[in-house]
Amino acid sequence: MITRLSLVESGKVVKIISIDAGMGLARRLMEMGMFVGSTVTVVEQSFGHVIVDVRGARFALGRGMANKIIVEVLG
Amino acid sequence: MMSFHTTKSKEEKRRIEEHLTIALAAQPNTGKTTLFNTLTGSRAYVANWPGKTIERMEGFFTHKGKNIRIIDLPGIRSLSTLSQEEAIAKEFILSGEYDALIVMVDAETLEKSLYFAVQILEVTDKVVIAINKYDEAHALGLHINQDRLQSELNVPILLVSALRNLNINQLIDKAVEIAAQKRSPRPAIVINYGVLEEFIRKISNELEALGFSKDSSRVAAVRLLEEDTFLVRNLDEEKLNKVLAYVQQVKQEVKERTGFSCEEIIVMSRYKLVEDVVKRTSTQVKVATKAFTDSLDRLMLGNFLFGLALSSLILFSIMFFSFSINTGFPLNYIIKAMGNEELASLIEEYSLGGILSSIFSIISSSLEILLHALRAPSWAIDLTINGVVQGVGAVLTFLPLVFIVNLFMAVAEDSGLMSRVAVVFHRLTSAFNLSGKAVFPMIISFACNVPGVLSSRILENENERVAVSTTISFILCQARLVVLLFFVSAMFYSPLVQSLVTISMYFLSVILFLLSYMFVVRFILRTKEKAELFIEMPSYHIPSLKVVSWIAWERSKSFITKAGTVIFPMAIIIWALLHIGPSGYVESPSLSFGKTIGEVVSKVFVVEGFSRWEIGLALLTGFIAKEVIIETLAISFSTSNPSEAISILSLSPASALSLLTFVMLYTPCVATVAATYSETKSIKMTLISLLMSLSVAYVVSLLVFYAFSFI
Repeated sequence: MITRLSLVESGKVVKIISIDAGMGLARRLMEMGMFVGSTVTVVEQSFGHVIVDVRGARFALGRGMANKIIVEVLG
Repeated sequence: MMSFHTTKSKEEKRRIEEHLTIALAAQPNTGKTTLFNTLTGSRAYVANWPGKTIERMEGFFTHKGKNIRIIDLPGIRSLSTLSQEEAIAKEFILSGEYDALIVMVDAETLEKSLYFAVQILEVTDKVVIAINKYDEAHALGLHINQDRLQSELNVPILLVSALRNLNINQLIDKAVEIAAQKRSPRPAIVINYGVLEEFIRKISNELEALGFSKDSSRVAAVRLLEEDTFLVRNLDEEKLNKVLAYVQQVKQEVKERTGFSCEEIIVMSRYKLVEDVVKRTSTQVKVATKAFTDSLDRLMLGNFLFGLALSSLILFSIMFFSFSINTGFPLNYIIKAMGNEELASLIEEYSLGGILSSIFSIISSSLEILLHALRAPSWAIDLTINGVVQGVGAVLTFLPLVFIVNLFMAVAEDSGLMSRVAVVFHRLTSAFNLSGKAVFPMIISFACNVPGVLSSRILENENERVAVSTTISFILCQARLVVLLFFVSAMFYSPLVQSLVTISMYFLSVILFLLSYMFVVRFILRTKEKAELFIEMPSYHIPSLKVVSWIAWERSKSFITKAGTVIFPMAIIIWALLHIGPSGYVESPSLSFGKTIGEVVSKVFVVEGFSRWEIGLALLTGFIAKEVIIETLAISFSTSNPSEAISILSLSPASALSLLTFVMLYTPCVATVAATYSETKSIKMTLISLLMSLSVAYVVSLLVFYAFSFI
């Protein structure tokens, strides 16, 4: 299932399909290990933010940002 | 496949000369190739090492307008190894045929790979060390004190992740900086080899006699004792044999005398150094399990109101404890309110601020006695006591507060709590286009604006960082709290009015900070970027005392250098203003140049009804540090009790509130201005910050005057 990172339920594992963002944001995401093809665990969807686990590192992403990340839900 | 050195055409030569050459050295499996690929992308190609069949990877790329040629050396375990590939890497490193060398070490096997780096540092200082996989090691609890490690190893050090492209830009910045210097290398560190030292000296004397420089002869001597003759390869056979024979003789002697071979002693000394350095500059803490982190995060971040309550409690405790330890406030007020006045005054007296100020008054009075006994002229006594000692005191009395706040902040930061608090607060601050992390500079500013401004560097967005550091000085610091409490108790009698005024001032200061922040972002920096939430959240762990003290000390140190260098000379200048007049040294400020200047300044406040030279002068001296205002008023009105000065003024309530508002809102002190400059590196932004605080203070105090005149 293809959807936006902001819409994925807590606990799901997803693969990044594309990042709909300008260079600045895409670069920052990449620097944190989030690029097309990376596998990301959604730890929690909460008020205004998404908490994700990328290769053992944990990040809080704003909803606006998470909206721009298109992912495939792996399960 | 092309070979560079065997068939160098003119064109190729020119191309190489125009580039800065940066080489990449590391032990196998450190992540060097990942870095090389990241840097060069598809523009890398394979060449051959001169005269060898071994391939070498080279690439070209540009970094900030500079053309860089990067050479990926074969993985090498140690400079004393023997495989053909490793020999190539070793010879290249020793030959110095590069403008800078990036030595990559592995955070996960820090001692082992730093040993390798140290070997290189004994030879050259044209090195940047990249500690790779730091992110992963850090997640497992490794902390490295980057600043201290840099100063111990004498070369720049970056904590990077080649895989995640973390800090790689900064790494190349540093490497290019070194490369562009085009200087000749010197040893970055000199290791003490103990019993070997006298032999090393003898061999290097021999080498010096053969034309080696002092530095290079020592390096070559150590390499020779490790059976490495590369650095003496250019000697003619006769001399070489003589040197080698001497080295053999030394080795035998050392073995007989100590029972160890030279190599053993060298390796052991080097490892000892590495172990000591690693012990001093890094620490490993136990991190919470994933399950614990998950459940605590669900608590902190799952429900907004609960998270907000918890986060506010954390921030409030930090403020409450650091303030109470420093000045007794607000703990003394609470205890007084509970009816125990004695305990309250004890807390005040034995707070750090209380202890420090009694120490300073002892120093002052004993110095005064001493100077009198020495028959020093009265101006010199005055300058020492009221200029120098007071200037030093102004810096030092704030040091404990700054240190304690930084200490608590470091605990929050190191334990992993800080980033969760930032996530929670983001929801509130984002309404002002401010990221959640900004609550930390704000909280620190309530203690002191100088570290508050300096801590704005934790903000990732450049515009946000600049805007915060130009406007955060609206937040009332503790020096202004002291002035506020003094004015309020001298001006108003009802405790209700007193607390109401105090609390309103705090609200006003926070609101003005937020409004001016938005103004700067929107109209001066002209950016439409939204403050986006993107925060890394490390695993929770019990904060390590070592790490916390590193952080707190580093930040407090920058407070001393930033504040100390500015406050001290300013204190002398202000002293001179108050004590030098047309007739030379004067005791009373009413005869000084200060009075004239105070008169000019006070002209601005005619409408508000406090246009007196004493106030003008006090406002001026308030630039050193706000609490100086109280003292200047006392001196100007020639009274020892500052509260008397306020009653002499006999201000109307509207004038009093207006004066108080102005005092609270205008530029906190010169040290803050200096800190703003050091953070923004822009004279323009520093001036904007200064003008904005002065004009906002003026306009708001005028409005306060009008509003209360009509009530």
